[in-house]
Amino acid sequence: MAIVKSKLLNQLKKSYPNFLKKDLDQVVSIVLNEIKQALKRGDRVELRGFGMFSTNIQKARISRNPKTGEKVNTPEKKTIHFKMAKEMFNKLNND
Amino acid sequence: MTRVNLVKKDLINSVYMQIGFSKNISENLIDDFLMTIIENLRIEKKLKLSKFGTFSIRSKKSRIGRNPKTKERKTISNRDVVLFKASKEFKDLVNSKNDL
Repeated sequence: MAIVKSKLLNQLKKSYPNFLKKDLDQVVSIVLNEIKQALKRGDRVELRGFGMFSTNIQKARISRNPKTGEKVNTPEKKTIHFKMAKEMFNKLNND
Repeated sequence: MTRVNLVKKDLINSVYMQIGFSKNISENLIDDFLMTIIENLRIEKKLKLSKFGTFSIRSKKSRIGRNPKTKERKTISNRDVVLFKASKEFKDLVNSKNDL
């Protein structure tokens, strides 16, 4: 099973027994929210040792419904990318 | 072209302003949160953050790569890479025109 946010929070809570769970919760949501808002503005997010979030613009194009072959207009949209940092790569690959 | 980056310092500042934890503590919390993500991802291979996205690990096989400049052949060993798929809410937010 995949790990979810609540499990992460529980682990974090163990390292910070003196903190209110509510506050840790809020820290996490502030972090995630700031990342979202930055990408919405079109900025990049660079977190040393973790990775980088960025957006790309995908141009409007005429695509097809693969099932029916019917032409569909796809408007311009932004795509979200994540690239891990070297440190993260090393952590995942050195064991 | 100016490129604006959001870095860890900005996150620390937000936590400091909004919750009132000292910058030192805020930094530790953020670092620990990110390290917990990596650690769990390493063990479980998949990690979901609701309303944000999913991180998953894909194992890549080793292959022979070439240095395009020197044409030198080298084996690229098998490795694990991280994929990130943004959630629907995240994508919608980034693509929405109005400010939320």
